[in-house]
Amino acid sequence: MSYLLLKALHVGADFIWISGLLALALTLAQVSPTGRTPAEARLLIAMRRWDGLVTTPAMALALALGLTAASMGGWFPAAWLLIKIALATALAAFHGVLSGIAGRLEADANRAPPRWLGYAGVIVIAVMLALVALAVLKPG
Amino acid sequence: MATETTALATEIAELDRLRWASWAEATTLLALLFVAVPLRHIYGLREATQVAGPIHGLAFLLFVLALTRAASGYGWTGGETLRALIAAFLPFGGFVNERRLRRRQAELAAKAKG
Repeated sequence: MSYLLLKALHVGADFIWISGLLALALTLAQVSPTGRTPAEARLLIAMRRWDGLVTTPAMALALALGLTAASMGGWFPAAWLLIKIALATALAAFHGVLSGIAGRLEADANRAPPRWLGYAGVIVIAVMLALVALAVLKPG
Repeated sequence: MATETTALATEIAELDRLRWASWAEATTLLALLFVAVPLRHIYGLREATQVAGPIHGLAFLLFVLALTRAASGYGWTGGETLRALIAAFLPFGGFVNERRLRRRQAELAAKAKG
């Protein structure tokens, strides 16, 4: 597989991962703190299903293709790449945290979502912008 | 009672995923350290680390996802989560994680039965 094709697939998988993560973050931020309406409960179930079937596999693919492209392109151990990997790891961890919270909220209808979830979408966007900047500018 | 049993079964399934991730992370770390790195430095086979490195990197990232998911989903303490994460950086540490998770699963299974 050519390097450019690998990069194209990596970018495509990234889009699917980030858009799914953003949708999950925004959904969780909108959940009522007391009780769930039937519509909210259905939305939570649908988001968790999408996360398991689409967003998480896209994340694994994005990371696998990214690491392979970096290895094929001979980018190791450039500083920008190491920072990018650290940020991708942090985003994967954040994905796990949101996924876990979604499971808790779905299992317990009376559980209030953490208040910091209001910033979750901003966090995803900020990390994504940093990842894009590092990939395009390759500073250093 | 039925709801509690379902919740325990869901947690056991989540720990199953984390056990697999721990095992994969530990195995690929050992392959990288004790096979790929010597092949590179003794026989000059750069390809060994070029292949094993990204594979371990992916296994580690999937472990991080599974760990944070289980930790936030089931209310782990910061200390428990950090201990599992630090163990993943050490050779054989992932196997220690896996054994600890298996014990936790057994406790949950006993609770579900009893």
